Amino acid sequence: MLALVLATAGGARAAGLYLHVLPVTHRSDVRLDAPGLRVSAFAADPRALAERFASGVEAVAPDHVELSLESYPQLHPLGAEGFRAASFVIDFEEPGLAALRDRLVGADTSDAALRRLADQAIPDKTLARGWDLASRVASSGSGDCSEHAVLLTALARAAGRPARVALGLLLVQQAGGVYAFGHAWSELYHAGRWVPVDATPVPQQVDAVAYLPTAILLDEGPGYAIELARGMQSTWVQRVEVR
Amino acid sequence: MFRPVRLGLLLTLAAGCASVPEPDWLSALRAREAEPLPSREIASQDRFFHARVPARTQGEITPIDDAYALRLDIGSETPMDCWIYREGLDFATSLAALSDSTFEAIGESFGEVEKRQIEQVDAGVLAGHPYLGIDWLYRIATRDGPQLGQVKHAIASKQGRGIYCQHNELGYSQSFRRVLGDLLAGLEFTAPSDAAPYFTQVSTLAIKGMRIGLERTTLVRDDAGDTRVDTKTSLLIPVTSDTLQVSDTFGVEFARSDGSLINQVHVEASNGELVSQLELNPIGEDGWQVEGTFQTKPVSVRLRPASPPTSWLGEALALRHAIAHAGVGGEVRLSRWVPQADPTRLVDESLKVERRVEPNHFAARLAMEGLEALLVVGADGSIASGSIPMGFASLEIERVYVSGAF
Repeated sequence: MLALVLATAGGARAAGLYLHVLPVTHRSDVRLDAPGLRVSAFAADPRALAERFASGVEAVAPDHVELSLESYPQLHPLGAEGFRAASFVIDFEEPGLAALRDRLVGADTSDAALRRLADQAIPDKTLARGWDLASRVASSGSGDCSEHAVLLTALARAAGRPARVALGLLLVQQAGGVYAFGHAWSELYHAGRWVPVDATPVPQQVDAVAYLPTAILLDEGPGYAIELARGMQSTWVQRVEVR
Repeated sequence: MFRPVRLGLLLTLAAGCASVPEPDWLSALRAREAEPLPSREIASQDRFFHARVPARTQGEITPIDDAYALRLDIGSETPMDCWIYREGLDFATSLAALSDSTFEAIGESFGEVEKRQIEQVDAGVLAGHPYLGIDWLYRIATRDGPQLGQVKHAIASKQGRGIYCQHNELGYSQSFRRVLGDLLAGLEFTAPSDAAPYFTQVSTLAIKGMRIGLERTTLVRDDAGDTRVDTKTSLLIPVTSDTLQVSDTFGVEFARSDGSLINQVHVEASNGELVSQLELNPIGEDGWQVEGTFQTKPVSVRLRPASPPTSWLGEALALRHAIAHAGVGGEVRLSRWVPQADPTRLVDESLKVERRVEPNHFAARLAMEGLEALLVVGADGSIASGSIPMGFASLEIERVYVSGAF
């Protein structure tokens, strides 16, 4: 029975973007790029959600977690250990990624350069893919945010940079409104901190964005779908209040 | 067949864009239905099949490759085209491919398809046979200006054979399903079919009220008295107004009469690509071997579980036993091989009977690897319905057809 949720997890996550935009309440003068940005994330199990954070949590209420987004919240685990090697999902050693690996040799491997390479390697921006492994992303050249995150993470590790896949919410400010979408992006390790690097292009008409991570893909093995599905239950953020 | 479009961006209207009202003339066209016609006997020339349909056939029934094509006048301007296949079809994969080829044909015959939009995905049973359908709205460019159309597709299955129908005209949605249902009800095959199952159930899968897929389970007993459990799951998940995620999963388990697993096979196609093909077979006294490909990667793992994996039948029999002997509060704990979760190990699951909701049905909670589902199970141990929280919504499972007993 629960195999069904695993079968639909990828699609439903994407379908969430189409069928459902997360409810957001906010002050009329709020700016996502202003200092001191704070949010309340409402979830079925706020304590379990709060326990995922190493920084950023200011309070835990019965139905929500209050978070500071002034600096990018850090999720456990804090260290880079375990985020350097190839894995079933982040399979940068597979032949399918050889051409992209070759382009990294002697090249600029800054965050921006890696992000650009991953973006260019996925010319077909589509929600039709569920959750593809990095080698499949490289060969298909198609995907949504999760494929961009998986491929960028693989390219970063291939370049010797610790990297991991983050899941959570992308807060978007546009034409006076604030919206929240389920999203995936990469985190790259810089001087003891994880920094969000998003290979998925953000539309130009967007005024500002903010990232609210709620989970790290820790199981990159063949059982990765369980973790994805688990993230859609008790710790799923149901609505957001921006303060 | 088509209707000139009077609004420039009319095709933004369906599928939940509430800001553009549908004009009355379009509502009227889309609401059209045909009166049922008298039923007629039809048959393929080689007598592979015969049927009774409430429609006039147009032209001959034509064998094409592994199917028979027939054209039915159902009382609309445009006929309904159907293909009856000699073999079964992967519902979701076939519907997605046939949708694409239909739009190619429309583009070649009538004009460039400027836009297509999913109107609805639907699943269920017609005349006791499972079907999956998708309706599209589209806009084409012609020399006379843009025109609007609607094409309805559905795939069904009877006695292991696939039946695909389409109808390319605005409206007639209920007529299309009614004729398909009547075709299915009266369809008979002369060639022998697979062994008849002693138990069949069909459940629909819905998110936010849209039935996006279905799961079909059949139990067939072989000569040795073992049971073959076939589970076919088809999903068409709309992820944008014109994009689908498409998957078909086919599982086969052989189980002894006590429900213990003999072996298991899992095959999955995603977006038309075969991504997983795995087998679980026993080796020696207490070991199991997993071989195949998972998400296009080779997998070869030897499992030595503390307790052997259970089959679909074993799970249902264990639940039936718990209900019969413990009733409310009864609990079942078992291990299963669930390749979608992780093909390289067994996963533990528990089923706890929480309360009686009807004389022969109980609310139960299924837990597996930190995931939970709320179920309604029958006293026989089968699942009648379920709800699985999935963040922004829940996946709702509803059994819409059951036949036989186990």
